[in-house]
Amino acid sequence: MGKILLAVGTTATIVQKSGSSPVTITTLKSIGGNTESMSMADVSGLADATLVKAPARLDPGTVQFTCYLDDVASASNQFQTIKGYQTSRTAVTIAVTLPGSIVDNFLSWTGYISETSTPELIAGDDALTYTFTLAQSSY
Amino acid sequence: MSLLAKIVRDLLVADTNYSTNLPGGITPETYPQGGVMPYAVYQGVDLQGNYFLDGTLAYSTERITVTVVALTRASCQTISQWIRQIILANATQKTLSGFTVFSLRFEDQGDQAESFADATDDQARSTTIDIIGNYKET
Repeated sequence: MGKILLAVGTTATIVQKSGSSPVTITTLKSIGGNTESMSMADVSGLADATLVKAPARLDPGTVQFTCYLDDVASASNQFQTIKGYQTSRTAVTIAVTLPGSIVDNFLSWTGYISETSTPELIAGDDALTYTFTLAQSSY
Repeated sequence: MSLLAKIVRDLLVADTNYSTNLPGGITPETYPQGGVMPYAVYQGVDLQGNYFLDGTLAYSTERITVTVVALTRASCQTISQWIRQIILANATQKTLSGFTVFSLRFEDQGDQAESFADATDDQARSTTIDIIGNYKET
C-alpha cells in the first residue's frame, strides 16, 4: 500500500550554479507545479493518410515560487536577492526537500530567474507576497 | 481564550474613558447576574492560521464579537463609537499586549433590543460589533 504526501513541511534551497553554499528560501508560501513538454515534429510523408509524429525538443518548463515579503531591510531582503539573480543573469539551482521519505533533491530545477513580481497592495487580511519564476535551462 | 479579544479588551481597559463608558466592565462571553449597565461581553468567533510551506505559522486572522448592553440606544451608540475610535486608532501595525498586531478592523455593527426575563419589563438595548485582527502569536 502506497503512502501519500502532503506539501506541508516542504523546504527549498537556492544556490548559484557557479558554486556557493545552498541558502534556504525563507518565507516560502507555495511552489507551482512544473510541466515538461516534448514538442512533436510532423514527419508525415506525402503518401501517409495519418499524421506521423516524432519527438523533437523537450521544453523543461518553468516553476513559480510564491513567498511572503519578509519584513527586513531592503539590503538583506530575499526579494532583492532574487531580483539580483534576475538582473545579473545568474544561473541558479533550486532544490526541494519534501517532508516524507523521498530523497532530497527529488525535485530540483536549474535555470534562470525569468520573472519577478512585486506584491499586490490591498487593504485586507492577506499578507504581502511576491512571486518569481525559474525558467529551466542547461545554458 | 481568544487572543484578539484579550488584545481588544486591554485596549479598552487602558483608555481613560473606560470606567465612564463601561461601568459594568467587559467580560468574556457572559455577564455576572446583577451587574451594572452599561457593560460589554466578548467572544471569539473565528480563528484562521496562515502558514508557511514548511508548516510554521506565519500569522493568524481572527474575528471576535463584542456586545455592548445598555438601557438606552443612545448609550449603546456612544459606547460603540468609542470602541470604533479606539480600533481605528490602532488599525495598522503595532505591538499590543506584547504581540505584533498587523491590523485591526471594525467590521460590522448591529443593533438589538430584548426584554429581561426577570419580570421587570425593562428593555435592554444592545449593539454587537465584529472586530477582525491579524497578529503574530510569538
